[in-house]
Amino acid sequence: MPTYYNLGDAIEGGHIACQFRKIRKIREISERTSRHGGMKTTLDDAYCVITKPLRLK
Amino acid sequence: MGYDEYYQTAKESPKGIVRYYREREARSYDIPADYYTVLKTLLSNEMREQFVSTKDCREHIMKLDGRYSRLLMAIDNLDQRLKRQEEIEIPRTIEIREVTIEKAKEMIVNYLKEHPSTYPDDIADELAIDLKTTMQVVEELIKEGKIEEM
Repeated sequence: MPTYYNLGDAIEGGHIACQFRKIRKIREISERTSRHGGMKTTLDDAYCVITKPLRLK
Repeated sequence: MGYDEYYQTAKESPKGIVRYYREREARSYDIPADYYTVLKTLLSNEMREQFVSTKDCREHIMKLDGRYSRLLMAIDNLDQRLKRQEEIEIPRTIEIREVTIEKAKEMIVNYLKEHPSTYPDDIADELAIDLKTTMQVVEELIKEGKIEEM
């Protein structure tokens, strides 16, 4: 499974786990078109990974 | 004695009329139109200036009640925001254990036997293993064909 380090490399998933040294303030995003905006923040020295539920074969 | 007759008798003395109105108020909210006028006449000049009718008091109480309800809603809202903030800012501390890859593999397989359909990050939290190590082990276990994603 690849790991990305460069500017602009992105991961996108339904469930992303993160391990980090510092978290910045969490901001709520309000979009005019949608009632429920999301949230955004910035992590410093972070390791983020897409995870999915696992089971034994 | 009916209330109308009682009213006629009570009107004869100031104390009687006050008692009549008090009893009537205790029984129902149907206050006669002259209630406040009669009461005012019984008061001294100084008290008359400060007189506040029950109706005004009720209106004031209604206003206070509205403000109280809004305050309760605001407190509830703040409480929810505080809880969300606490969830984010005061995390449960996990002491990460140093385990070998082989030991971690064994622990994760055993954990999945008891808890099928679990996210790797939850496994890492529960077993107190580093997330990177957990993902490395998960990758190896998937390659070995022991586990699969749902």
